[in-house]
Amino acid sequence: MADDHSAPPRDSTTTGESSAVAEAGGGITGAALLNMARLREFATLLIVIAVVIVFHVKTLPQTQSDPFPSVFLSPNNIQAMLRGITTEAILVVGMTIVIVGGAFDISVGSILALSGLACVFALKCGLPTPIGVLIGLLTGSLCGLINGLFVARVGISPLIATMGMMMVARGLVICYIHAAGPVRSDDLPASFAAIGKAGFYGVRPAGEGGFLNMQGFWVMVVTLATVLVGDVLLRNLRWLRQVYYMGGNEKAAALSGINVARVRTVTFVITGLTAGLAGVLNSARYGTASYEAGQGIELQVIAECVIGGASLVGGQGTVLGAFLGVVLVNCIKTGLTQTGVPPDWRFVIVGAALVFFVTLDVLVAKRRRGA
Amino acid sequence: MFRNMTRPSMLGPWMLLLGTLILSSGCKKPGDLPAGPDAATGAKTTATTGATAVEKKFKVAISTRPGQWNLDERVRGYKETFEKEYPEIEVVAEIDDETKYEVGTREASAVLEKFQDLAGFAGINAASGPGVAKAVENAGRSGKVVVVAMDADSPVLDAIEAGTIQASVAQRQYYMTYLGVKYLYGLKHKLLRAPDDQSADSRLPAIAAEVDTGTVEVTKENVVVFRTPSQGAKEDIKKTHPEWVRLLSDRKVVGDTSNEEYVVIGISTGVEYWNATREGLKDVCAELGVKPRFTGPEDQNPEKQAEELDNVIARKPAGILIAPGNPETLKPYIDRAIEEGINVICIDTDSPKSRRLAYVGTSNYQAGVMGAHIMAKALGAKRAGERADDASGADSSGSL
Amino acid sequence: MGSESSGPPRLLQMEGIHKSFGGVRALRGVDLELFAGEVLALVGENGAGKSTLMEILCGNLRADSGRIIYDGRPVHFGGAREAAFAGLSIVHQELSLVPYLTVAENIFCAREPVYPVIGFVNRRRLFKDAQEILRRFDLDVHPAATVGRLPVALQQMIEIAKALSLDCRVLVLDEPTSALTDREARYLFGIIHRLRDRGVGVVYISHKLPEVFEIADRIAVLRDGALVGVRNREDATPADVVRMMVGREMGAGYPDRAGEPGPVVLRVEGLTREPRFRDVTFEARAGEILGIAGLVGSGRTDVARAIFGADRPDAGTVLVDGRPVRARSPEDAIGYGIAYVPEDRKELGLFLRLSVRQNVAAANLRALSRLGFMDGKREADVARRYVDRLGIRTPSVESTTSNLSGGNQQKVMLAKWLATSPRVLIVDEPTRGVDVGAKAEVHEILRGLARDGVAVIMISSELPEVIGASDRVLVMHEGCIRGCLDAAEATEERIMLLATGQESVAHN
Repeated sequence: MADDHSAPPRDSTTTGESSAVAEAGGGITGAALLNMARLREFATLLIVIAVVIVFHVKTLPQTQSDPFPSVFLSPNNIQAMLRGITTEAILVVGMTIVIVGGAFDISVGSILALSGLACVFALKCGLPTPIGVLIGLLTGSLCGLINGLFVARVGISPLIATMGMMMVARGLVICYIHAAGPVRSDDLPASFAAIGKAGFYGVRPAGEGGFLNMQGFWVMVVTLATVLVGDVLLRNLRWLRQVYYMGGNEKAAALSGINVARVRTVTFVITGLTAGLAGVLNSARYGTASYEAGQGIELQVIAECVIGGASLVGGQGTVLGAFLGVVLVNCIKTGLTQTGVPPDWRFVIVGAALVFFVTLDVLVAKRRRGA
Repeated sequence: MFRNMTRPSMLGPWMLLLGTLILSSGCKKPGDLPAGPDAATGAKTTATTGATAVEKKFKVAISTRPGQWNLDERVRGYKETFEKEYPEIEVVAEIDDETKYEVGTREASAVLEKFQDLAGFAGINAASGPGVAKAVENAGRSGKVVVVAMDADSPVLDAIEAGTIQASVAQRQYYMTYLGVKYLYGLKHKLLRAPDDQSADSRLPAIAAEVDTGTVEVTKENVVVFRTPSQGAKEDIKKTHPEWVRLLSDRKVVGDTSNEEYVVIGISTGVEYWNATREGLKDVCAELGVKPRFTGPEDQNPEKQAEELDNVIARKPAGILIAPGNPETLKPYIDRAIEEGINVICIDTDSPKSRRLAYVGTSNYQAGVMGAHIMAKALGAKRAGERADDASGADSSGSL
Repeated sequence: MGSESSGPPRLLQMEGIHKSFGGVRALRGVDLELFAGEVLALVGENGAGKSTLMEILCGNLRADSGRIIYDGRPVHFGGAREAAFAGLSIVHQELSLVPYLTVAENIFCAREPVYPVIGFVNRRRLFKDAQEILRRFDLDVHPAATVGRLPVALQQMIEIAKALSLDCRVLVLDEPTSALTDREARYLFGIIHRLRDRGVGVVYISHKLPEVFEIADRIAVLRDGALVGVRNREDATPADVVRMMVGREMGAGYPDRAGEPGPVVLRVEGLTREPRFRDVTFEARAGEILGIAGLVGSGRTDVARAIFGADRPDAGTVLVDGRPVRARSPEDAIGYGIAYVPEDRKELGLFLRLSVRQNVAAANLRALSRLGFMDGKREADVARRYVDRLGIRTPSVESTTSNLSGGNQQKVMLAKWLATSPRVLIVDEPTRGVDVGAKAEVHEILRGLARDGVAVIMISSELPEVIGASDRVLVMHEGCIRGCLDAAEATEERIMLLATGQESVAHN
C-alpha cells in the first residue's frame, strides 16, 4: 500500500471538526463498541450464571452445619470441570475462526486423534518431548492445510473436503494401531506425561485436603491461554479481521483486496493446529493415542460455537462467546450428572438446549432486523 | 443493560433456566438417586433394601455407554450381583463415557465431587477404566476409590501398573478365536458335528453349543502377561485347555486346504481389544494351514457389520466367526449364511435366537458378575448372610 | 383520465397508517386511496416509506395503527400469499423466481394443478395453463423454458405474469423497470395500460420521473414517512414532484465541471481479454470524470475488473502515474492507488451483515492497524468522518449495513474506497437503485474527488447521467472503444449511434 494514512490528504479542511466530533464521542463510542461486540456474549454469560446458580442450589449439601459450598461450586469440582472442557475449549478456538469465515470443519476430531498419535509415535521413536509435541502440532496443521487447499484452491465444499479428511485421518490411526500395536505409557518419556499431570510448578498437594489440588495445571493454563489469545487475536489482529469480511461476503472481500483463498486456507490451518494441540494434550494426559479419541466431538464443538453466537452463514462469532458455549454445555452436563439425571436423558436435554438457543438467536435477529 | 432482561427477546434465557429447574426438580433431592435407565432395576433395589435393611456402607458408581448391548449386559451383571450378594454396596450413579477417555474423566469427576465418600467405580468398556482412573487421580483420591476396569488395553494395564486401577476383568479373545476356528474347520471337513445336527454321522464328536472362555482378573501381579497381543493366552492355553490344543491335531489330511478362508467379523475394530483376536486367528490358521481374514466396521455400528457379513457370505468362505454388535440386528444375516451352507459361530457376544452353530466366548453378564465380585473383594464388602472373609471366589478363569 | 371523479369505485383505502421501528418513525399517518382502473405512482426518496407502506399493505409487516379497507371491508392480510389470493399482488424489485425451474412451474409456484387424490402435478395442464397466461401477455417464451436462462427483462415479465395469473385487482409494482431496457419498459407500459383498462388498480413505485409521468394517472409523493401530496398527472410538472420529494428546490442536477484537467494518471494500452474486450486504449486525467457509456454487455465492467486486477487480461498494459501496474489481484491494484466500486452492491460490494464501521474498514485494514493489530478507535473515527463527510444517514457507525437505504449503502461503499485515498476511482453504475436526492449527492461526491485530483472513471447506463456528470465520454460497443466524446459534443443521440456500432470516431 502506497500511503499509510487512513484519511485522504484532501480531507485536511474537515479533519479539525471531525476529529473534534470523534473526541467528543470517544468515550461513548468505546462503550458502544464494547456493548455491540459483547452483547451476545453477555447474554450467554447470564445464562451460564443462571445455570450455575440452579445447580449450585440443587447440589447444596443436606446437612445444616456446612451449607456452603455446594458440590457443584466446590473448588475441586470447578477444577474438574475446567479439566473436563480443555479439549473442547481448544477446538472451539479454531472452529470459531473457520465458522466466522463462512465454512466449518468436521475433521477436527479425527485430526485430534491423528496428531496425538503422531506425537506419541515420534516420542516412541526416541525423539525428545518438545520435538514430539512439535510433530503433533505440525501433523494437525498439515491436515488443516490439506483441508484448506481443497476448499480454497480446488473449490470443494467444506463439508465434503473435511469429511474426507475426517475419514482419512481416522483411518490412518486405525492402520497404525493395527500395524504397530498399542502405545504404552512406558514407551513415552516422563517429561511428556508431566505435561498432562504436573500440578502448579510440579507441586502436587496430596489428597483432597488442599484447597486447590491443581492437577493438570498446565493443561488448564494452555487451554485458557489458547482461548484468551484466540479471542484477542480474532478480535484485533488485522490479518484475522479479514476472516470476518470473507464470511460476511466472499466476493466483496475479494474485491476489497482480500486474498480470499489464502485467508480461507489459513483458517483451516488454524483449526488443524488447534486440533493438533488438543490431540497432543490428550495423549499427554492419558499416555496413549486411542482410536476413539475425539470421535463425534466435531459436531459438539460446532454446536457450542453456535450457542456462543457464531453464525454458520459466516461473518459472526467470537472465540469468547464460543468458549462460553462450551462452558454452558458442560455445566449443564456436569450439573445433570450431579443432580442424578440418568445419562440417557442428557442427550435429549443438551440437544433440546442447542435447538432452543439457535431458535432464540434467530428470533432476536429477526426482531433486530425489523427495527 | 439490565433493562434488556425484561424485553421479550430475552425471554429465551429465562425459559431455559425454567426448563432446567423443572427438569432437575423432577429428580428430587440430590443424593437421592441411584440413577439407572432401567426403572425395574431401581424398583428392585428399593425392594431389596426394604427387605434386608442392611446399612449401605459402600457407594459405587458405574461408567458405561448406555444402549450398547454387550455393555448393558455387563452392567446388569454388576447390579444384580451387588443386589443379591452384597447388600452393603449401593450403586449411586451411572455415567455415559461415550467410550472416550476424556468424556469418562469429565463425567467421573462430576460424580466424584458429588459423592465425596464414593468407594468404588466400575468401568464397563475398555475406555471407561482409564477415564475414571484419571478423574480419581485428578481429585487426589487415588487409593481411596477402588477402580475396576474392563479388558486389557494398554492404558488399562498402564493404570494397573501405576496403581490407579486396582483390577480389570479381561476376556480371552485369543481362546475364542482359537477354538472357534478349530470348530469351523472340523465342521467343514466333517471331523466334528454340530450339536443338534441329526444328519451328520453320530459317531463324530459333537462340538459344544456354548463354551465359556471365561474371564481373567488382571492385577498388578499378572499384568506383564497381558502386555503381549495374545494376552498370554498363547502360552497359557496348553495349561488351561490342553483338550483344545489336542483337538484336530490328529486330523487326517483332507487335501489342500490352503485356499480355505476363515473369517472373523468384529465390531468397533479400531480398538485394541481385537489385537488378541487377530493373534489367535493368525496362530490357529497357521496351525491348520488355512487362510485367515479379519474384518468388521471400525465403529460400533451393527448395521454396517450386517452389510459386512453379507459381503463375506458372497465370498463363500469356509467358516465365519462373528461378534454380533447387536444380536437382533445380525440374526437374519447369520441365518442367511447358514442357509447358504456356511458355518457360523458367534464369539465374544452371542446371538442365541439365530441359527448360529455355537457360541464361544465370555458371557457379558458373567463378566459383570466377576467385576462385581472383584469390586466387593477390594472394598471388603460382606456377602449377604455370610461372614466378611468369604467374599472371594472371583477367579473363574479356569471354567470352560 | 378522470380518476378523481367519483365514478370509478374505490378499490383500496389506507387510513392513518403509523409504523415505527425501534425509535425511528417510518410512517406517520399515511392516508392513501386507489381506484379501480387507475395507475397511481408512488414516488419518494429511498427511506421515504414507500416499501414499508407496501409491506404493510400485503401483510408482511403490521402497522402500529391505522387500517386498510379493501373492497369496502377492513382487512388484515397475514402475508403476501394471503394477499395474493385475495387479489392483491405485489411484484418486488428483486425477482422472486426460482431460476432452476421452468416458466410454468414458476408462474404456478405452490399452486400447480394436480391430479385428484394422488396429488401429483398435472404437467400437461400446468403447461397448457401457463401457455394461456403467456399468450394473454403476448410473451414469446415456451412454458417449459428454464427461467434462469432467460433475459432479465423476460424474467421480470414472467414475475408480473405470475402476479396476474391470480385474478388480481390490485397490482403493486416496485421499481419494475430497473432491470429493463427502454424497449422492454415500453412493452411493460403497454401491459399496464391494458390492465388499467380492464379495471385493475395499479400502484407503480419508481424513481424515474419521466416514466412516472408517462404512465401514471395520479402521483402520490411520500417524504420522511408522511404523504406530502397527491397530484393529477395533468396538474403536475416533474419539477413540482422533485420539489415535493426532496422538500427543496433542485438545481439542474449536475455539479459544475472543474477547470483544466491535470496530468494523465491512468493510462491503459491495448488491454485485451478475449472474448470480452480487445485493444482497449484510453487515458484518464487527474481532476476529470471520464464517463464510460455503452450497452449492457459491451465490456465496460470487464475492462474495469481487468484494470483492478480482479480478472487477468490476455494482453495490454496499465500505467498509473507512468508506472506500469502489475496487478494480479485487487490487493495489488489497491497498492497502486486504484479503487473499484462494483455495480452490484449486495453481491459484490457490501458486507451487509457487518457494521458500517467494518464496511468502511474493509479495504483499509493495513492503514487502520498498528503492528498488525486493528486500531478500533481509529477505525470508528474514520468511519464516523466519512459518515459526516458523505452525509450517510445511519443511527451509528455500528449499525448493520443491511438496515440502511440503497443510497446510503452506496455511500458506505464509496466511503470504503475513498478511505484508501485512491489515485484512480472506478465507479460502476454508481446511482443504480438510488433516489433522486442521493443521486445528486453521489455526483457531488464524485465531482469533489475529481477536484481534489483523483481520476474518476464512471461507468453508467443512464445517458443523461453520463452526459451531465462527465468531462469526457468513452463509448464502448462489443468490447471495443468506439469513440471518445467531449462533454460539449456528447448528446444522447451521438452516444447511442456509437454504442450500437453504427458509427465510430477516433479518440485520444
